Amino acid sequence: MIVSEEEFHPKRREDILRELIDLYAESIKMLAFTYVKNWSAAEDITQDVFIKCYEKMESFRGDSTYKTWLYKITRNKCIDYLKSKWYRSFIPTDFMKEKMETMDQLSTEEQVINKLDDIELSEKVLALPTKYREIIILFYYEELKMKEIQTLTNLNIDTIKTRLRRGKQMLQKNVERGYGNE
Amino acid sequence: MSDNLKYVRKSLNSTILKHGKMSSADKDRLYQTVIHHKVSKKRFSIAPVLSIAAIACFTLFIGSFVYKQIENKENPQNDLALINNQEEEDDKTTSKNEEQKNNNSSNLASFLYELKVMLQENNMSSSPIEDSAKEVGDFAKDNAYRFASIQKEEAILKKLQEIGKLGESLQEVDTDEKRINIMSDLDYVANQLVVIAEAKGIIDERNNIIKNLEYENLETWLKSVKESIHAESFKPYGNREAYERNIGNGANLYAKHYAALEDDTAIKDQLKEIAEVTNKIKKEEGEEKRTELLNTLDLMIDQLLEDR
Repeated sequence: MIVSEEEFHPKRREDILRELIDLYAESIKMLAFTYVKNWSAAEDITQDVFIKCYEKMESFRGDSTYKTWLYKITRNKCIDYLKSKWYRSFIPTDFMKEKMETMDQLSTEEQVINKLDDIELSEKVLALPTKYREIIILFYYEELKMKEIQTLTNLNIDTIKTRLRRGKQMLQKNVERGYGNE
Repeated sequence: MSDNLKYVRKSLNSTILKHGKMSSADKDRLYQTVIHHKVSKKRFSIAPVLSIAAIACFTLFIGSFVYKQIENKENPQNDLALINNQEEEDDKTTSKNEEQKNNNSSNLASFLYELKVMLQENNMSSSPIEDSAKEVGDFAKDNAYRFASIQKEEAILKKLQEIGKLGESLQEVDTDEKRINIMSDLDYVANQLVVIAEAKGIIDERNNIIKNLEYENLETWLKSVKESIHAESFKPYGNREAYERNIGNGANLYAKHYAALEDDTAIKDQLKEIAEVTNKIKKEEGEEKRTELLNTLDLMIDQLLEDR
């Protein structure tokens, strides 16, 4: 999407912002959660992303889609957050709380089995190291193309492919280990 | 695994990420927050405050130093006098302490030497053992306790107390056999204390004098050491290391012996240096390092022979 100069009239900017929030706010919040594993932090990051988007809208040159641009801002915000000292002293608990609540809501046997599979897969994906997890999420969850992931992460295609392969291998190992323990 | 990952979106959306869903009201709230957000909120960070504080402290420190320097330049004479007085005072205190220390140390070393001489004379004496034993006991007890009362080194203190007790026993026992045994113990403890005291720098050179010499004079000994260094055979020793370390041991004893007898201070110093090098040779296990030390010793002997 290429935006012309006249589109940056204040009224127009607000319209674009509203549109972007409607389209991407939810997925940005979820993407942020896959990095930081904490809903409160994910909400803050989502807010920061749109504030930055609103402030820098005029400098957006349309080299990529709004979605890729917003995801890129989200990724940078999340990495900054993960690097911060505050995060290092904080133990994410939302993920475990989530799991407990989901288990409580289960009723029939079939639902239990399906849910357990879903929970296990989600748990294993989120347990991967950040650099592998983000590629798995962007490729399989966000269903972005390699080229889009490259724009977003500034990594070269070979590195992305390697991380994707390595991430899958680690996931495979973790799942097998899970079955082994059972 | 790739098949499983195809369902990762479904799995995540139905479990962990389901709480991430946003209603229209949530989105509207977000929109309002962004629109009304004026200035990016910045988290308070302690780092810049600390940096500024550190720079301020550093500037103050440098500033005060420069100020003092300028002030000193303005009143150089007063300060110079003050510094000289201070230095003189320091020198006096240091030299007094050192003098005191040397005095105590040399007295202790002299006591040990004299005690050893008394014990040796006693062995060779034909007079009744009871009298001389009492004399040795008296001398050992009085001096050992006297030095013990001013001694701070624990190892030395312990040995002095042992000597004191043996001295007391020597006065109390009633048979010659017991007297001989105690004097033998006394000689043994005195020798131990000589070594301990030497390690602490308390030395009486007379303790280093060897009674039965193998060499006619200093020159003969020096030449003999040189021959030993350059000898190809290491017999009767089992290997080269044992042979070379024995050279170090023997040369160390003789270097200290000749240093104790030497009047010429330059030669005396050279002999003391040789004693230090040979002490290292007798302890050195590394072949390379030992060879290096033996070469140094060889050169030192050449220099000494030339100076004499």
